[in-house]
Amino acid sequence: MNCETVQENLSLYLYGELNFHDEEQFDSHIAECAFCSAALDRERTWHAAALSKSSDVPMDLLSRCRRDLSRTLDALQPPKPSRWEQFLETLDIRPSHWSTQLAVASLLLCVGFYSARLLGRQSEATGGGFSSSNDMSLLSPGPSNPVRFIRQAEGGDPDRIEIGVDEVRPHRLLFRRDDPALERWAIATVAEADDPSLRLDSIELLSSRPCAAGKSALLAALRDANTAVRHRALSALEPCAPDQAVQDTVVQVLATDQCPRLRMEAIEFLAPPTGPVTVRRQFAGVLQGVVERESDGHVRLRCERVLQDIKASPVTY
Amino acid sequence: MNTRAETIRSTDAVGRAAERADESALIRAAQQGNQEAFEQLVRNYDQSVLRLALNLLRSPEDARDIYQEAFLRVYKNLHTFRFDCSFNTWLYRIVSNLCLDQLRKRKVRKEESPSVSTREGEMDRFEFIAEERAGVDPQRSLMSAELQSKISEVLSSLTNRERLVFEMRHYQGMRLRAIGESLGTTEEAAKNCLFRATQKMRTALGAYA
Repeated sequence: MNCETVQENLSLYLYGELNFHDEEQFDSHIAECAFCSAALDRERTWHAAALSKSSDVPMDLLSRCRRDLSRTLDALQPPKPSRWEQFLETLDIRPSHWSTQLAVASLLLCVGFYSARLLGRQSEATGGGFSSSNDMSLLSPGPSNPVRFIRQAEGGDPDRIEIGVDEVRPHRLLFRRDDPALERWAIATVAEADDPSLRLDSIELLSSRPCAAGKSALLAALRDANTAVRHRALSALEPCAPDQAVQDTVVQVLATDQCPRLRMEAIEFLAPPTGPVTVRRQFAGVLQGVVERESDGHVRLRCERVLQDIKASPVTY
Repeated sequence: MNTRAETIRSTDAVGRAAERADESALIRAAQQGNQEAFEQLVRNYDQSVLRLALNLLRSPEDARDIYQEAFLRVYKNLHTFRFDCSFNTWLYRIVSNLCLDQLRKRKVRKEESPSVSTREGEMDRFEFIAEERAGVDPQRSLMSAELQSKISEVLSSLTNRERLVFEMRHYQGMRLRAIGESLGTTEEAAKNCLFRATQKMRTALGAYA
């Protein structure tokens, strides 16, 4: 492979789109040619820079999209037949007159009565419970029965084994907006949901509650991996600004968070432009550290002012 | 070294095969009318779909429309999906067609909205990201901001197809073969398109790298 071909294939090489043979030749050429090696480094630099433009999608937009879609799909859903109708449909019976319906109902009642008696006798004989692989197939994993994992397995019997399983099944629950149970669901979701937009929605729910309601969950969300979630948690904590535990955590955000915008919001949270500064003097050391390290001029300036307000030196000696 | 790479590739392949099996079960359940399965399918892909639409159209409202339309089409046509290609490819075929249509319409209307709505008001999406990612060193931040702005400029200068292929390869990590299938063309054509896009990026960003 010559220099011209290598230069043409720089991006394809980085994307891993060269075939095995071409990649081998590319590697051999790069190992020997300083010019092409430098070109590959330049290519890597712009690839990384362009990649840094990729970001998480705005979570509020994603939430809106999901809500809209869910509403549209609900509107498209045909009304679900009742269980009775579903049952009759499986039997291919379409009763139209009341007398037919009555006759079918009586018949099914009789069938049910005698079946129960018969099964009861069999159950006494076998000891009951799931006993065959056909019965167990009712619990087989799948989208409608999503068994997550086996919790325990027991079985001295060489032919059979009993397992305990944890399953997760989707449910729809209807709450009054002031129901405390809703709060518990939201707190659990903030702590455990993999999907950041669900965490964001749950924080939204908690933010309309009294300060103490989801405080611990919101404080934990300040350490969330997703920046949008951390932003929203900080805003939701505003009513609890004077709380000592909240201040402790927000000061840590100011000192350590990677996002300059969030650090800015943290200092605004601790020392709002209007109103009293609620930062306690014991945070002076942390704020001095921020002044020394902070790259953002506005955050630095605000920290210096807060230090002045609490009568502490803006620098350490 | 090759052995290690092969081991990683084979582990990846096993993982992908398991994911595909899960996904097939989900698709089959959704095809039978299981609403939860369909919602799960949407959640598996919707962030990528929204990101692609947002990056291409650079308008949150248009991206939102594409999101709705794309998943509605999936919902209405899922029963016709016969596993001839991957679901990913099928979905991206719908999304890319919708995005290209939207870009074509825009060309006629001559409208382009490079801004996004943020909590602080209207901002250029990429500037917002650049600000978040700027390093500690102010000089580096400035350089990074310049570079980001240049990248936005070059991306805007690409043709719709070049931009779509670049987005799919660079940001969505799709293989050229899948991109070709999604766009209803060959792998070679997708490769040429990507080649032209990267050539333009390289020429424009040479001074910054």
